[in-house]
Amino acid sequence: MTEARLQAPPRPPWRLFWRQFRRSPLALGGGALLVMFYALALLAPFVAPYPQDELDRGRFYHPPQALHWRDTAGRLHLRPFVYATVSGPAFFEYREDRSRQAPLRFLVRGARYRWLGLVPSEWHLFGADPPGRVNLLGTDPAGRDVLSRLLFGAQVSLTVGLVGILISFALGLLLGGVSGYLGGWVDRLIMRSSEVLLSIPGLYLIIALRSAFPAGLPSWQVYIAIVAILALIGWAGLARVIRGMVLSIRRADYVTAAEALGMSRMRIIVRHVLPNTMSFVIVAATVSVPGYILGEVFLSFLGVGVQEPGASWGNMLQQARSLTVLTDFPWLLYAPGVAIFLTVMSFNCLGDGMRDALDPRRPGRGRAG
Amino acid sequence: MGRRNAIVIGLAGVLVLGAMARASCAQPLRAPMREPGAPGGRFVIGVTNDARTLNPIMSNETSSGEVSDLLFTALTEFDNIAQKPCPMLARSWVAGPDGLTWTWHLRRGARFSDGHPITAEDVLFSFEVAYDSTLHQSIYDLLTPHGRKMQVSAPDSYTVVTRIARPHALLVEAVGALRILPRHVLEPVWRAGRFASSYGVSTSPESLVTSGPWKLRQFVPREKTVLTGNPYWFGVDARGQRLPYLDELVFLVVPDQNAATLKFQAGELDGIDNVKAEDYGTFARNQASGGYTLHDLGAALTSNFFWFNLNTVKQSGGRKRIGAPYADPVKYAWFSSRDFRRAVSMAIDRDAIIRSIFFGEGERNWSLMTPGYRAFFTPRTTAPDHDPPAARRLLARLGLRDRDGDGVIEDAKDNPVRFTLKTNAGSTRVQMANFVRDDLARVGIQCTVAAVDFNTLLQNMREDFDYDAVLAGLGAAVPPDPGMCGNFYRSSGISHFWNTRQTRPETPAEARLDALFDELLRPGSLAARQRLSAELDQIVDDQCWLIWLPTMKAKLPVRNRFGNVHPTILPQRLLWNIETVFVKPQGRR
Amino acid sequence: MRTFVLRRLLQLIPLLLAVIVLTFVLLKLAPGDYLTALSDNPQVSAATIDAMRHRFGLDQPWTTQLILYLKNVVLHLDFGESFSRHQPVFAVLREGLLNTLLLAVAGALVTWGLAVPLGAWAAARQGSAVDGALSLMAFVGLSVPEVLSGLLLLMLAANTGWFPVGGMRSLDWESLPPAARALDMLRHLVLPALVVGLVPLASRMRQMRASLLDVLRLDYVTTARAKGLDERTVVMKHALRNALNPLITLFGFSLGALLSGSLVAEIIFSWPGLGRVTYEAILSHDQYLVVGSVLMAAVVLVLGNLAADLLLAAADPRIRHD
Repeated sequence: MTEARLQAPPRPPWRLFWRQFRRSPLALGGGALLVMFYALALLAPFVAPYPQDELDRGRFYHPPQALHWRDTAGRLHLRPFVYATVSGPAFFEYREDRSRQAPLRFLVRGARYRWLGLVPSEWHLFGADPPGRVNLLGTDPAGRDVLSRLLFGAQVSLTVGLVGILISFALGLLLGGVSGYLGGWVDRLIMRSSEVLLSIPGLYLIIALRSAFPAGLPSWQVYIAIVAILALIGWAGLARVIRGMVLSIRRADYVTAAEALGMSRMRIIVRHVLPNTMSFVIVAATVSVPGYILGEVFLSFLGVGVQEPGASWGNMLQQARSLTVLTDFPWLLYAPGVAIFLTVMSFNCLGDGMRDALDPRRPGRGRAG
Repeated sequence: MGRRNAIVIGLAGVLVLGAMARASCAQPLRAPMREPGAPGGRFVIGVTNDARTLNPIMSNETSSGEVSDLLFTALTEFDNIAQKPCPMLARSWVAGPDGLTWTWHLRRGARFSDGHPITAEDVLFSFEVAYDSTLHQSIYDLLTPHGRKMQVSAPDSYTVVTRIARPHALLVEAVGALRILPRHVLEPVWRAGRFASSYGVSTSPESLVTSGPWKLRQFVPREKTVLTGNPYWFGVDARGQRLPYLDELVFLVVPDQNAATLKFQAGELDGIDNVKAEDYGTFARNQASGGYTLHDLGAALTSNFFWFNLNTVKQSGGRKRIGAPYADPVKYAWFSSRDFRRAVSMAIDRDAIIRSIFFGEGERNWSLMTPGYRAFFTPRTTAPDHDPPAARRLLARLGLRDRDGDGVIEDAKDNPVRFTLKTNAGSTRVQMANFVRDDLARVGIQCTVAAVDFNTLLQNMREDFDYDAVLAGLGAAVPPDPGMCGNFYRSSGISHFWNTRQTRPETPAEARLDALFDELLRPGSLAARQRLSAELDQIVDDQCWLIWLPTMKAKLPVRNRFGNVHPTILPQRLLWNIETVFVKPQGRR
Repeated sequence: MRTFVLRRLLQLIPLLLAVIVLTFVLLKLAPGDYLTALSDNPQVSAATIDAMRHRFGLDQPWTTQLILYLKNVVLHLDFGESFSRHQPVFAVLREGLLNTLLLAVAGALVTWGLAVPLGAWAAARQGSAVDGALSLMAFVGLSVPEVLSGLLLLMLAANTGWFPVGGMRSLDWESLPPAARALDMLRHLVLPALVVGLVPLASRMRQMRASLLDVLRLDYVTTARAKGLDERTVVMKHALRNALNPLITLFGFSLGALLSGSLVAEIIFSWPGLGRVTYEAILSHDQYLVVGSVLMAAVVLVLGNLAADLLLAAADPRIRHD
């Protein structure tokens, strides 16, 4: 019996990982927030009350509207409502018109859309009774609802990171692995190419490549294409690190054994060498995503990011980056600013938590593995 | 003409002659000074870019021209308030009887910054360099009216004679564009073939000999350019005090507009040349506490518009035959209908653009000659302005209506009316394009906005014509005269956007444009030229080749402690009379 | 060792040639050239544009231009001229290079000056609230986009007057005595260096922390503790120095990124650096200036990598390069 207990089946590694990961409230919080953001981005056309490019000429620079449950007579309503607003006398000054209410309802019919380009629908999560309009985060200079643009912008800004790391990490892993394992002229070729690519500033590539695309493409597609190309260039840095790791893994016993057994080199690389770099790769990937998001902000700053009328957090931030906005229309800055901040923070906390959980050096972890 | 009119004209003539006589012996001031000033002080202006070269012939950018225009003088300079050229190096000029030969009398006593006298030989040398075909800079075009070089000669050291082949209305302005270079320094350089790199930004200030009111004190790349007064310049004020008054004029490079606003608020700048419309409110609010005035200059000289691609193939060698339209034939059928274009113009809500993009500081504009061009602006009484029901009716009369109830109108062959509107990325024009798109959607036309980078757009506009419609604009014409806009008005011009470089005018309206423009370039009375300009605009309006959009109003802040500050809408907006600007004594601010 | 260095320097040459070719090709991919922007001016005739194009050699096919350029570089070390300034390329770039290096080094000082002590502190207090708080603070620096932090700091400067509103020096810098000059530049350097330096702070701090944690587990540290030395001496005298080793190589690698990381700060704070020159050159298709700038960045990168490898060898005798 004692022997049976001593030979209890080993815990699967991911369970250990999860136990460790759970200990960090920051990582958990970050992860939860990201899941929520991605879900919102996925369901953006449904959650957003209005399309991203719908102008409202009566409501330029409208401040965020307050939800009320109690009306002027003091009665409590079950549904929250917003007051209609009138503008004037000064420019972009709005006052509540307490005589007109527009209750909010859930699951309303609104503008038509095709979810993911496939499923047509006209249902929205919430909306104000027409002719009322609800702008929970205010409107931008063209009267477009900031909340809606934020959600649609999330689609761009959040996918950029995923597409970027998928491509760059796939390439980096493969080329770094091959380079480290095979050595010789293959190694030298790959490393020299990576050096050349690393020398050319990425900004320059973007500007050059951006113009090489046919102008008929919607700008967010052009942007994804640019990210793909950036990632194609971005494998260089990762490949070098992977190569270093592979160089040391190569000498491990199980690899020598596999070679002795006659396994093809490619199989060895893919099935034995690369998986051992996984813990580093996962963490590195998580922490690289913010780089792509902030990169999009940078490109919008220079005027070559996603273009109007498409929405992205970068171009919303760039439009808001002005002193007049900061003093008179701050919601235009807070919405994308806070969204970017929270997303980047969450990715970093998540990556940090994963790193700690995967790190065999943590006290209490080494013994159980 | 009665006797009374004759007397009036005679008196006017005497006054003019008297004014010219006064100008001939005294100061070349370009604006009446409210008060004579005192020497001293420094003016700091914020600019986005620094100069790339200080050589007036070789400069291609406004940032360079701003500085070199102050360093080097010309035969005439433009008076931005009177909006006409006034004497500078030339104290007077007179046309021969045939209008082809002009004699320029140079003032005596003018000197370069090293003391060397400025004579007719320097003027001749400057012409030679400008006409050098190996250099072939943009000054070449300005000095070749009707494509022919002028014949320039100097009968004596203070007289220059120019001869042109055909009479030209803007000859005085054209000659005024040439900056006078020091022959004694630059001729050997030019003959050695090294002119292009001479007087670049790395030239040491001592060796940069200037002819204008200023000379270079210091150039720090990408940071600042410091000018100081040329001690030998001939400008004086009414009391004989040498100009310029200021000790130093500093161009401070501030690439970010927000940073420039903050620097101005912090007192580190005395003037900014370029302010966004959305910041006007902030500037206006702080005028008292900041000790500055936000000068309202009126409508800007830049116009905004969009047009449809009516370009046809002019050269063989491509896939299409000569005369075929570059645009898709289905779309071309709509675009080429004048009523379609008028309907599109009637769909645009210009008020919304003014309110949103210009913060209310904008004006409707229907011509290249915006309200800022005082002499040539004509208010429009009939213009295809915002009237969506009328637009819909007009489209319906053309057979374009919504046949299948999807909100988009179709033509007789069930093609939905849609097109792509291109504009350059990262500018307010993209926002304007958004409004256009929304406006057109309300009348059933589906417009997609494509923001492309500037060079691609230019290439589309001028070389491959790969577009449906483009939203762009034109900047200020200097001097502010429609005669400078030949490339736009002429059917053969490269800026005749809707159908550029026609080998012969393709329609009677185009032919009429050409004829009118040729007439415009002939010297005539202002009233006659105004009529011609109005007729040119009337034709463009009639045909609705361009759909006009509003123009911004320009406002610039300048500190109150400077006197003689007269910002104008014409370039250089703040600096055109900077040699007469002075620092007011403490008590009088 | 010497042959190693020599070999790496020799390998620089084909690398630079490859960079030149790649840069050229990419530049030509974008439509237009230096004169396209000029052609937008309606007062300039087509004949003038053609003549200028011919003078700059831009009317030839790009392969010809490239071959000519390579010939000039290899045979005469002539890297071409800036079209807009009519000056040799490196004359234009030189001052920008120094200014950018100054900003980058200051930014690096901010980063490392904060990362080392904060990382050490976090490692010493591993798992505690302090550790978590420090990580959070570092992440804040990373999560606020430079474009925003720059603007906010600039507003701070304008409203409080503690710092100048952008620029590298005051208007009257030349008339100041040398000590005051240095102080003036330092004052101007603070805010942009903050913006540049806070971005990599988080990762450097984490790396310092991880490295120190590694060292603290090693046997000789346990021995030192057993000998009765107090924690502070253990950490400061023994562990820290060894923990810094891997970071030194990181520092070397980060030298390579010195020239390219500060464009946003340069624009917002009006810092007259290389980033702005390159950016403007890219926009205006001033092609030889662009190639020159990219070449410069490539040389700095390779030298940085070389320095990192040498430092690694110096710090870790197990690694030998031959």
